[in-house]
Amino acid sequence: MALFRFWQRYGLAYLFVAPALLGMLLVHYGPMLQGIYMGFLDLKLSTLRLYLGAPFVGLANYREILFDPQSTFRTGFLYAVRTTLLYALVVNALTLSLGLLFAHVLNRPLFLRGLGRTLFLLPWVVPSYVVGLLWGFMWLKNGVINTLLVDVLHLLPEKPHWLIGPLTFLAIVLPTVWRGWPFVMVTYLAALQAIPQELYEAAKVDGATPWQRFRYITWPSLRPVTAILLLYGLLGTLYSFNIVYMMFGHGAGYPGEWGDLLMTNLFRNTFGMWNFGLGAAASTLYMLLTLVLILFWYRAFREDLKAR
Amino acid sequence: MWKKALSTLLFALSLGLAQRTLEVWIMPNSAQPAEDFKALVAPFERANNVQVKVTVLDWGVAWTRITAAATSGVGPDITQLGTTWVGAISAMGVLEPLDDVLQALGGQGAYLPAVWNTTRLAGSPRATALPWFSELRAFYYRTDALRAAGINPSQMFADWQSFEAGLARLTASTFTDPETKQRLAPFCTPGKNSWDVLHNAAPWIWGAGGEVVRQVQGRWQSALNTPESLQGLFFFLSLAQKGYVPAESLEKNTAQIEADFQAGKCAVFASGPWMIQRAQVPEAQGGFAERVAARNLGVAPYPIGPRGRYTFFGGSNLALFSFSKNKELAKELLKYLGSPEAQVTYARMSGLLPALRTAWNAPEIHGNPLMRVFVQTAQFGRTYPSLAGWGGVENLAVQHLGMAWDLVAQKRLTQEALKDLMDKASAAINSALR
Repeated sequence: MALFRFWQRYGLAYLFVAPALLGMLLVHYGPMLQGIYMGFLDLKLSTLRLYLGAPFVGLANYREILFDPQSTFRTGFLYAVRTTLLYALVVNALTLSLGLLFAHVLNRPLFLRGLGRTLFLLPWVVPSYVVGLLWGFMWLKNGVINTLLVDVLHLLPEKPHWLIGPLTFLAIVLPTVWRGWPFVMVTYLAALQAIPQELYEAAKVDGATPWQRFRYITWPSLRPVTAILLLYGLLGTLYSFNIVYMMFGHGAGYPGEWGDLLMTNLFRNTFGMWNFGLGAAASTLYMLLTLVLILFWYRAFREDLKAR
Repeated sequence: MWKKALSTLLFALSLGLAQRTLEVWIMPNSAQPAEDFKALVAPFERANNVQVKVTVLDWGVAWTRITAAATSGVGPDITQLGTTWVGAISAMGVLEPLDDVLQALGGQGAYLPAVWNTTRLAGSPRATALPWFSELRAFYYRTDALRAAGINPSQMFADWQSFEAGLARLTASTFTDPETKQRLAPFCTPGKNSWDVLHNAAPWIWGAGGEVVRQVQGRWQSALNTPESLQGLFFFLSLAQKGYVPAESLEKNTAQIEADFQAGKCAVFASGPWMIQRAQVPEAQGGFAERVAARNLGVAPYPIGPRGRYTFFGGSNLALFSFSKNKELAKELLKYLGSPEAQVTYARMSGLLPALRTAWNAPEIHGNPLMRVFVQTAQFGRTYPSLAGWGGVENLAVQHLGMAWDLVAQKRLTQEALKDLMDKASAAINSALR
């Protein structure tokens, strides 16, 4: 009886949601479950024809990745973990700070503000693989960046190698920030414009300083959108691939200890080594690691995300 | 009237039904890959009333598409395979034996041993791939730059010592390119950001008596950390560290280095035979005929190392999928593509060297002094072993050689550092070959 009443009340809504749910199950969860299952198979080139019928090896792939010091999957892995974590930290700190700063600037009645917004947004519409390709040329020893820094501005005594050695880290961070901050800026701008002006006027009447107005009105109002931007940024940087892949010989070259990220490392160790079972197991481990990070994120922003 | 139209239609339909179709996947081997291949197979199509459908796969996606076809059983009748891929795809058990095709084309004696090795998985008695064209490396040099520096090319490219001495003289030379008015870099070579990192290093490893992998008690193992391999690698890498290679070259890929040579920035660089054809083609069509470099082009084989003269021998083969519905007809097409006439025609289109030895006697090849050097160089050609797991070996070798190039760029490469890297590479490769 209760079920009938439930159906009478919500049935139509569930019917409307059903196609989207079905699509999501087929397109999203189907491949994901298949990927997780592949992590339990001895799926390499010689067994590729069997695909999901490849020999079941249980947790052997996970054991190899986590506990076998001779595993080829360990080649450069720790460097990739270090660089990816640093990359995620630096890129997100810079995109969020720059985005917030420029959103504030563009939230004021400035001359040609609309044009400014459009121009700032341009890097965001450039596909990430094009960004990698273009910046790869720009970072060359005799490229436009070194010409500007050394020949024109005389800021450096000699032209450094940006694509070799520790400077590689800067070479992958800056294009990512360049492409990423405009989206943060436009999102913050929309959030800023939604804050009621009365709050600021009342605070001014009460004698609040600009910093106090930011601290007690702006920032609390921006926390929900910051939470979403941080999640989006974290996922984007932890799974970042295109820029590094294109910048170093279109995947042919090894980006080096300071350029190799988890995804480029995973790609090389899976498709370069033709070992798809290990690759699937490593992907599942990365997914679990990311889920743990998301859990921390959720705990930090839980209150901000509650519907009001 | 309508009866005539109907009979014409029926006749056309019956012709259409009678005409069979063969599907072939190739990679961009020439300036207009699809058009060139269609022109190449046109006589075969007419003679056999068959339509050959060609699909051009970019090298970047070719491996994925071919393995997907091998796995799913849905794909072309014939596919082009890079010679280093033959072992892996053969090991998947999806290729039709081609011993009869090879026999019809002259058998083992018709090909160089290095080329013959690429027809099968190492150790297999059955051939699964037909050699199509060869890609081997030689040195290109600027005749005007060497002349100005007082260098005799045959002496410079005689052995490793004379090669280095020649580079030293080029460094000291004040010769400038007539177009750019700039001095030429003695030697241009890409560092780690290139698809052929191992191919560039292999001739030096072999020249010192080393190997990439070797068989020990019936098992393949890495040999990158043997004293001979390290000697060859260190000699090659130290040429860059000594300043003969411009620092900016180390960040570039092979295409960018080729462009630098064409633009008059380099005196010496290593590449394949296609540069000869490009030197005769105007820039609008992808060549560099108008450039000074094209008018002053010389070719020399790799210099002799302590243990001999070697060059990397690659190229592409053709293979027939066992799921093909037209195996006999496909084999006829393979025989046609492997014939001396078709080999010469395609060499003319692509600028590559035919795989069949008798095709080298064609005037286009034998009559061209630069191409003749490549034919001579082919005698010193060497291939990697055709292993099922070669992709993993090359991947790990490239990664560790990349780290060595990083040290070179920072002028920190020492023999100890190189040994340490190659020990790590060998441990990883041995693990991959377990």
